Amino acid sequence: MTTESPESQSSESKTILSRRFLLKGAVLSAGAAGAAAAGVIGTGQDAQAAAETRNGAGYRETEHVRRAYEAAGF
Amino acid sequence: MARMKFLCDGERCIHCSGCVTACKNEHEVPWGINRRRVVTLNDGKPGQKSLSVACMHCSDAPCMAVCPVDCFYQTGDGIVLHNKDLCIGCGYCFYACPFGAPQYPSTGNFGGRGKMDKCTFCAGGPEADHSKAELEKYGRNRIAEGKLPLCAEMCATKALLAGDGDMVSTIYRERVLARGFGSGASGWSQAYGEQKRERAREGAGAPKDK
Repeated sequence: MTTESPESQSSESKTILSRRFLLKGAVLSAGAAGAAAAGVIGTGQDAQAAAETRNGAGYRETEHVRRAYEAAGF
Repeated sequence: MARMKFLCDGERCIHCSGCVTACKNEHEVPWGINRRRVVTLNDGKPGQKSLSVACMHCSDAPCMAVCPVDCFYQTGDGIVLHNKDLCIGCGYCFYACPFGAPQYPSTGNFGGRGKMDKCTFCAGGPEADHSKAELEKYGRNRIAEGKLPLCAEMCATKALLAGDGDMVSTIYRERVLARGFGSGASGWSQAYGEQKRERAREGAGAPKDK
């Protein structure tokens, strides 16, 4: 039966932990960068599309509007 | 160019909620959302008055300033509209708005609120005027039809005024002169008092109101 010293165990677990953190960090940062890039591209495209369709007629003082103002003024 | 504004005359509002019903019916607003509502101030006390409140389409809109996805935009008439395709339902605009105008259709798990909904001044959204998509997402576009918001047109006592800011303020001024008193245009300094806010931003060196 072989027994490992507590020191060797702790050093091994530290190595595993640090490797885990390294891998986790790499995956998260790559994912975040991808998502940010997609978001920027997506938002840009959406904003452009929205700007193109903002072609509303807008307010006009029609006969209907004039009559509404007259009614409100009583 | 005309600047669109709302004004609720607190001396005339009788809390009939006709504006609320007209808005919900005209735009087929989803269950749980009121783009417009009537509130009573000093309820049961001297000076009690009711006011119809919705998005005031502020000059320097706080919702536009805080939106993380920049889904708000202001038309040439000063109407503050938003794009539901961009909205992520974060709720920042709700906390920023001094009038509590932005509404959310759901309160689900994990903070899911759905796309924000608010008064459009009956001016639709970013989609093409009178398109099916605009009708489904934002309701009818009465401004493009050459009309005014239905809440104001429907108001029985004409307490709620909407339209060109100069015309609205003229009508209100004439009323105040005729009856000899007025409680002021509620919310106007907050919504359209851009000069004060600019001065406040400039800091201590700016001239102060007396």
